[in-house]
Amino acid sequence: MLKKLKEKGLISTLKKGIKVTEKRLDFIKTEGGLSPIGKTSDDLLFVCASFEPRTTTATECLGKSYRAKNGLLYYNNSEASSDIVKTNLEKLRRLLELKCDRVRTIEGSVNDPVKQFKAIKDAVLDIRASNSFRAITIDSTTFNREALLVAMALIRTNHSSAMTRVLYVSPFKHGDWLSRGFREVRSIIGFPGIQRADQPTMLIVLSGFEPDRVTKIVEEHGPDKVLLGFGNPPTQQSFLERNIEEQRKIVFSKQDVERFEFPANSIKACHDCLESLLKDRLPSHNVIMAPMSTKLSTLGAFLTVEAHPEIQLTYCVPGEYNTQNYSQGATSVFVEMISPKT
Amino acid sequence: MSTGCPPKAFVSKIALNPFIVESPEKLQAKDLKDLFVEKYTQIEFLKERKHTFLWGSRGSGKSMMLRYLEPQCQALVHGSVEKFLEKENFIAVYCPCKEGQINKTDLRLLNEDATSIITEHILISYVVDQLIACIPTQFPEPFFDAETSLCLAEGIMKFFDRASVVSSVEDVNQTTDFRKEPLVWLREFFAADSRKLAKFLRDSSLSGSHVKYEGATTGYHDFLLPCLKNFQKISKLNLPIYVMLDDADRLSKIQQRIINTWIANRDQATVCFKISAQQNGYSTFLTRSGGLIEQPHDYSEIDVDELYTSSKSDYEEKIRLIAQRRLELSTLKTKNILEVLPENPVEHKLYERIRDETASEWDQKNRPGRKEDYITRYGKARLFQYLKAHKTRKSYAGFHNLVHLSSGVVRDFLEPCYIMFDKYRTTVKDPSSILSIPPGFQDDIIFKYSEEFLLDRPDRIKKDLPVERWSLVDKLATLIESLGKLFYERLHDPEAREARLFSFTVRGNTPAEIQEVLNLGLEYRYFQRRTYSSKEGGGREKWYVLHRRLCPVFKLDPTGFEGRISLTSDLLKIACENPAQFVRLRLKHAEEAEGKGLDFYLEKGD
Repeated sequence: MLKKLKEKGLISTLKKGIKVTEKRLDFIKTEGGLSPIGKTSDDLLFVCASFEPRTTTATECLGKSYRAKNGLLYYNNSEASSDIVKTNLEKLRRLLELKCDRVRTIEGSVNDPVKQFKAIKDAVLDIRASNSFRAITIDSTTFNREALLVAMALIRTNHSSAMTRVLYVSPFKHGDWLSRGFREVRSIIGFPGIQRADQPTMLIVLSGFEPDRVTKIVEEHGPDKVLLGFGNPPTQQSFLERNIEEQRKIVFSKQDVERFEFPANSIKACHDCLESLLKDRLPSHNVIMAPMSTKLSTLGAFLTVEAHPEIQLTYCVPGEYNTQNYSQGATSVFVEMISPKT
Repeated sequence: MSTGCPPKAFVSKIALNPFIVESPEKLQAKDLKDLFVEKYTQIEFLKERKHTFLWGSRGSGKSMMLRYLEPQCQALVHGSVEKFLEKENFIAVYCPCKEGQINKTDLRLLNEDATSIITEHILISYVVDQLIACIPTQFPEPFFDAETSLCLAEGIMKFFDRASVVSSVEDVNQTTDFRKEPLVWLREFFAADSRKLAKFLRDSSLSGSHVKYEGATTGYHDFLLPCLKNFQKISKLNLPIYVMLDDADRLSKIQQRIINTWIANRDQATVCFKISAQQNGYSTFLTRSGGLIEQPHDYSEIDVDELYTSSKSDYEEKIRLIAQRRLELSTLKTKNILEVLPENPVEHKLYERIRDETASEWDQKNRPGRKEDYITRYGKARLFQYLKAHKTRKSYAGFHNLVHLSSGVVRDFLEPCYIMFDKYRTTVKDPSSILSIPPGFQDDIIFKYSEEFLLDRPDRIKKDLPVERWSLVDKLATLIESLGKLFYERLHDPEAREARLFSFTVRGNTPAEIQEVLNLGLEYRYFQRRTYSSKEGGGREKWYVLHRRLCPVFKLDPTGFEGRISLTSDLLKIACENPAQFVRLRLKHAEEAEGKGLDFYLEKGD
């Protein structure tokens, strides 16, 4: 399918991943859609149902020939009472039932890290019993970042020889605000990091459109130094201006802050960027990383921490999400492969 | 990557603006010594050989007090490390509790016993690691010679269970020579042990199979206490170690219980725990076995916020001394804070005149009570009433006013001063020529600072809270508005018997929701809580005093509010919902009560 799109000039190649550009989504669907990673069925298709319209887009782009042995459908129980989430959950369940031999729904909770973690772990371990996986497709689009990071860590620990294909759908636009309020800042389970008493703490923030969450995370950690990044290139050019504008709102009077840019549109490019950023700093700092931008850059951070487990990943739980207008539409699908861990 | 400006040294920052506020953690020992004023801080009490809780709001100076006790700073204070150790009887080790450092979410996955054991090991390793880290940073090089350092390292290692540390020891031996660099080796060992623990946490979280922890575990009696005793012996200092846990409200409940358990042991000859926290964030005084640590048997406490409420003159003197130190470090020519922050001279003259008139009034009214009390009670109220009648803005400029407006929190004095100085600098050609900040300029900043507290701060608080608690913030904002308006009416009423009110008590039981609003107000420092003896006897009752930063926006007097009003919970509920109705009802009640000669407004509390 991707070859066909490439021949027709309907995709662009990023540094490592592939961006299936806007308007081509319909084309993907009508031309057969995305195939399994290999010649046979994927072992796992992992998706998340949320309040966003784009939550179903990637699954809708799966071709007629697409099959997976297992389907996992995650949702956050604090959003479960919403009619939009109910509808999306039902829609995704029907789609998965068409594509997967078995479908399991996982109920997690962004407000309870233990419940969220255990729900994903139980599901990932349960399907592991059947076989060792080789091909996994995950639609990262609407997982909360903590659940996505935990899911990736569990998958790559327990299915280390699997090739993982990550899908990400970029929206047409985002709402005026994405989240508000605050519940907790916490280290993410599976990424405790190591802190040495003789080293200063450096907080690396991949910021997006939520300056208040960034401020809170910096306040709570009180680092000696902050590396504050914004996404450039973004997943689509029109987001760049807002990235810059939102970052301008973040001002720290008492912190030593350095600003940088990271690719928000590619897992591997972001990973490379973070590696070069850390090269001279990691040996002399306790590093904490807060991915708060696109899911692609979040997974770029994941690969970085996988390579350097001394880094801690941290997460700021918002008071509430803008469920009515978090994002609108879907313009493009990003497809990127992550090589097996072993 | 674009690189910002490198951080300036504190000394160059304070040279430009004497009121700059910097996180104490980032200050060098010399800065701490230069800035810290011992007087009125209860630092001597903190130095005592007791377990101590240091309570206070953010910005009240807790971290500064703890860091001031570190050996390097104390050596500067006393002239040398030898003199310090000769005069003082402790070695203080600063241990900041930062988010995610000790309190890791992975621990929540373990069962209760495992959490308790692993958590205690994390805490103990952290304390001992900080102790080792402080040797090269806090003491001059020859103080701990090679032989002493080697003995120290051997003394610590012997308390570990050998089998549990074999792999960490082997790892460190590959890169560091124990005999040549024993302290560096020890630091690397703690890092290796920490890696092992982190790997266990990661693996036990992520792996499907059961993961056994094969690293070290340490406890208070089998490791921390003997290690510290050994340190005393080998270093020949024979002084107790003060373990200063800063921001302990960031620790989890189980971690707080472990610390309480250590405190309950009362081993003050070897170790004293100095624990700083916001009081409402330290959630338990229970030990691990369910016992309770109690004051004064197990610990003593210092409330940093209390000075202002207990002695306004001492607090003012403290601020004057702090400001004086800062002015000396700055490039300003004036070193007298009263000259830098002058009050409004016109209003001062006016007040002098009103005082004289009030004194005459006292004579005409057959001298009720003491003359000075009468003038204090009515003079300021008459000033406010005069200004209102003549449509003149009340000035809050001047050092004394700014001290009162800070309500006992040093940072709340420094912050508005920093802003006004920073802004004023931009209006003059040569900032070094500044001798004072004009009263009118001060007033503009003070008013904005007050207005921000009333109008903008609630929105910022909401950002700190989950959405379901936002209605409490709205109720709190309404309550503040209701009280501000009521106190304004009283102050500007020439007939009011007790005009200068700024605090309230609650009569009867407080419903849970109202109590939540009051607690939120305490947490975000809209109120300070004091207690007073109830007239009926049998204990003390709660008394809420508003933050004086609210005075300019409500046109109230910040200089003293000994009187208080009593509110029923029903009236308080109305105050949280409808300011106009609340003010109307409360004033009506007051008129009725005063008409009947009742003591509606309570007098001084104790």
